Amino acid sequence: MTLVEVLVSASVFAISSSASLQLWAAGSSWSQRAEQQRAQQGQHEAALLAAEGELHVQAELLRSAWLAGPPAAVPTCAAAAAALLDQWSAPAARAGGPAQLAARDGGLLLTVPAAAGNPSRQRWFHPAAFGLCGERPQP
Amino acid sequence: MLPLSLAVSFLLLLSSLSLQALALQGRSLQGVQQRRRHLEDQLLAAAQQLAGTLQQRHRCLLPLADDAWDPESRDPAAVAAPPPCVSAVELPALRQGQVGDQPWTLVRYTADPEQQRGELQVRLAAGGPAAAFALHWELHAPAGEADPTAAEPVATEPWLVRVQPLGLRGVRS
Repeated sequence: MTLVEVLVSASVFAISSSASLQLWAAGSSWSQRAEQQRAQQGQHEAALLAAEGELHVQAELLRSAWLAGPPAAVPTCAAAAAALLDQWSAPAARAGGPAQLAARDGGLLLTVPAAAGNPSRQRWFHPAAFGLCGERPQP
Repeated sequence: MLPLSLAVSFLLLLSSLSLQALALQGRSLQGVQQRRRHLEDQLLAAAQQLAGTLQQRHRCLLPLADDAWDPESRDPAAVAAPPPCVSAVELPALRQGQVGDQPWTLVRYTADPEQQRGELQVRLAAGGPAAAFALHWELHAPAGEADPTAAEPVATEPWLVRVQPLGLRGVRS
């Protein structure tokens, strides 16, 4: 084993160790970020589902009240969407969370805004699909 | 000594590159999941649109499979009366629509009147992804017929109460 061989071997090892360490560091950092983003995606999804659940509960309350009443109590779909929006937005009904509800295209648009690298989520609901409106034909 | 050094260096680089590849794969998987969620949201909007239209103007179709919706093509021997709440002109609007810039089509609708439940499958664009949704309805007496003292049970009609996502489907049309 010559001195040159030792020096070349040491240099190769030093360079590859250094490059490998940098790649490991970058890979670990990416994995960690991906893990954090996955957790945030889960929270984002949970916020959407919680808001959707709230919307279903409020719609169920409205529907029960209207169907128990006289036929005239069942409103038009526009009025039903407005009533559901009012009820969902009432402070007493809201459990908090980042979701927003707005009237859109004759229905309601539920939006969970973009956060921590997650794009915003939007789900559109028709008030009639909750049974909140619909013609009640006279016999 | 040089071969040993080269071999160790090669192994070190290989292991770190493997870790990089794993991290990149995870990132690409997240992109796929985000696109999938976006599709689910669009398909839900399509199902809400169709369910809303059925509930608003065509409730009599809820307990009927979609191949029985057309009042003109139905076998008169099979069912006594065609659905009274739809005309042949209105059918195309029930079988397709648009959510934002995405067209959707109804793949199929099946109904189980005993369980008061139907299942619809909608597809985005031609050959795009599809999803299934369960439609749940209750039976209510039409307006003015809800007389609890009546001796005979009054006729009831379906009233949609809930649209439940059943997930993306590989639908064969």
